[in-house]
Amino acid sequence: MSSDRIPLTVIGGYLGAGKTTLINKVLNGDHGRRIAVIVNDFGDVAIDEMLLEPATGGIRALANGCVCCAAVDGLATALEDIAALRPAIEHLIIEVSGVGDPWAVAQWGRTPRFDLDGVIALADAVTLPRWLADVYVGDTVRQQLAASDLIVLSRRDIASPEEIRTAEESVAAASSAPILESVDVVLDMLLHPRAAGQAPSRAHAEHSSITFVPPRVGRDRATTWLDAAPLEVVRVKGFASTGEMMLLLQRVGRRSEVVPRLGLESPRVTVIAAVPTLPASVEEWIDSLRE
Amino acid sequence: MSTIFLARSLHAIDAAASGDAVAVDEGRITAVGSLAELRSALPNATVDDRYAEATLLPGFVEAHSHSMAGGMWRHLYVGFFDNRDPAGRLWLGCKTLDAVLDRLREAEAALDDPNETLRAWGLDPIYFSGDRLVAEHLDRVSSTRPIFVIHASLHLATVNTALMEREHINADSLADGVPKDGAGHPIGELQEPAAMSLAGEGFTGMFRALMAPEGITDYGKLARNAGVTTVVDLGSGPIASDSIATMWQQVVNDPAFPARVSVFHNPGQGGPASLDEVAEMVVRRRGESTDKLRFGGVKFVLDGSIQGYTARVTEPYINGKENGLWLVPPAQLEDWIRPVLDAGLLLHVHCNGDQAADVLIDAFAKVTAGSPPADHRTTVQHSQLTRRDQYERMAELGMCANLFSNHFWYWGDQHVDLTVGPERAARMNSAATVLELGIPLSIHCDASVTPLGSLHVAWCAANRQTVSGRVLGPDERLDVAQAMHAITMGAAYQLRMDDEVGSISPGKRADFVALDADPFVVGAEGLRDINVLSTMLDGVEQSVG
Repeated sequence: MSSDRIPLTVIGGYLGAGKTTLINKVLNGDHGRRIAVIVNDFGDVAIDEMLLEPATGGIRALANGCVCCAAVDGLATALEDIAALRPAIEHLIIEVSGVGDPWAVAQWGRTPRFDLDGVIALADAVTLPRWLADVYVGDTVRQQLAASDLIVLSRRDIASPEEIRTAEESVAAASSAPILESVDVVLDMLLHPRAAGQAPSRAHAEHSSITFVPPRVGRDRATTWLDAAPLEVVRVKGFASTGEMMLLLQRVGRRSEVVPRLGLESPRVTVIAAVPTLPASVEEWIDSLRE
Repeated sequence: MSTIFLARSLHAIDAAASGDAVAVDEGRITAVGSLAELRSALPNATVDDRYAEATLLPGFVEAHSHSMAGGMWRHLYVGFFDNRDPAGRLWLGCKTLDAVLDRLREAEAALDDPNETLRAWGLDPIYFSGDRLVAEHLDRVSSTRPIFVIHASLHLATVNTALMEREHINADSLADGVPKDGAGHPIGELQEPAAMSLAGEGFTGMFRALMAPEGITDYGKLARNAGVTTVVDLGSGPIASDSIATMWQQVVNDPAFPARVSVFHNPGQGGPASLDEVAEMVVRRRGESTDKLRFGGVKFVLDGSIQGYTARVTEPYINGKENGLWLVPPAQLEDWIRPVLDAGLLLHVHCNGDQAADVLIDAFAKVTAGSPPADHRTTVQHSQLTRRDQYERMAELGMCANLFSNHFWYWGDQHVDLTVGPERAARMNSAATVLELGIPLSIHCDASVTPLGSLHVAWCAANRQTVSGRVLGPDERLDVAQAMHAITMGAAYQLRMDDEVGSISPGKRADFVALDADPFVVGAEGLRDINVLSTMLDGVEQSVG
């Protein structure tokens, strides 16, 4: 799936929620994708052993084709530098500081060289309720959750069932975004966005996906269809043709977007559901686009 | 060979000496006293009477302003209050939206290249009781020339239809910061940097001018015109890259540059992300300091502004907004300030709201564990809503306060009516409490947020008067001596430069300001009407533009 714009994913969340762990997985992964990451602190990212060449202009190139960048001259400059890289970057991830407003950063995804791909918040299942009750940052953490499209409740493995329940209730009180049980869906979104042609539904441990060729569809119809996605659907991305132009169709969590985009892509849409096998309701919904 | 400068009156500020004459040799002060005393002590000295009709004070010291205040003047001023440009020209405030449009029209007509973007700054709709500047207004100035007007907060810009057409800002522009009308068309407002960047060269051209060498040169002129001989650039940008540090050196070390500058590093604006690396870098830069250019300070910003409702407050704003924004995670602050203090660097932290001050005071107390480093001079910057109980803790910890007293004039009425209400507005910038508790005090302008003017901020701290005539918290007013101390020795102390500047004392640099009236004679009410005649830097006159 390509266009002249770089998809941008914003990763937010308060301290200790696992942002760095997620980013290390992307930067260490043998995924063959050229991903750029703007990080807050190089010191937290395990890149030393992967370092291909020393930093130039704040950008460090890694052996697997990814680049890592600290916004030394501000975010605007870093974005300009990343957009200018050749070969072109396929996906950009921005890590927001612990108190940063992810939605404000996400607005850079609405500038001419980028396409906002989603705002994902990571929340620590053990400490989240404590941070939400914190007199200093409670409101900040609540706003971060409210501004996110998807929320990953991390560290479930060390949390008690009681802690997980409390954390899930806290998230639901702050945000209408779907809660994911692990970062696997996020990694799948970032690292394997491109299915070769039409792909049958695939099953994973915690999620399932399908890629199909959409029929010709008008902009309004595409919007209504996206908005009607079943609750299990956490992600839709792809291109569809109106007959006259190409549309970029995107849904992350509960937020949908349909915009005209220049590009030579062929029509193809991938849907991810946060359940191990694709439910019949999702297949029916996909079929409804053909009606 | 000494020169004795004779003044009509002279105030040494922090020195025991009194008199009407000061002796200068090789740019240093050698003696202060009466003309007769100095003549008999220095029989070979020349007497210079150019200040015989003037009042001499130590050159003013401004410990919280930003160099972008100079570069701003590369663009058209459309602010509400009267303001003077680097050349000394007075620009009357635009009191209505129509006045803003008239000024834009005049400037538009004077541009030769029809494609050149007209850029303006300083607009603050908070004074226009609800009236909002939109593209439709600017289209009345020109339907063909792109226009970009940045608001005083720097968080918002208004552009015209010609600019939107050039940059393809239209119904499909999705950014949240691009408000649309009922028909889905952008109204011309661009909110926050991502949306403002849609203005392309209109936006980048504005900020490029702020960081250019010419802008810093103009900053020096603004300082000189205000009687300031030592000015800070309080963390406007990173100094990590050699190209930026070299630019500062070339501009400020030039003998023609009329002020000393202390340049702070703000890690929030770029540079190394790890605070250990920041400390190491600033220590290295400190070694590159000269007589006129100083490195060695680090500035953090904890919260936003009160008039922008982004300061972190303990009680909600009176318009119902719960609280403001953090720029540093409170739980990380200890790890941020430790390397700075361990390296012996000067630490200044922006805390507008009292909740931000709480976080800083707690972090400082923990990091220093009951025994703060000797002579650390850690300064709470703005400190506008800091409470008495917080000042008591600051006094114990040896922290300093630099207050934003100009707020009484520029936003005092808005603070009573719109932001924090009468009770908190009355204890804002409580300078008398600071002094009563023995905390080192300074007061500042935060240019370009308000115009650089030491006598104006002294007037504000001594009168606490709003535009509508209210006096907020009269018990917190400073007397003239206290106000003059705050804009000289008080600020020099917080910049660790009080051994060199800030008073007319033997051994210090011959940095003076010559005034057309004596602050101690005109009294608190008249401070802002005093004119600066010239300044002297190392004994060399800097004539006011």
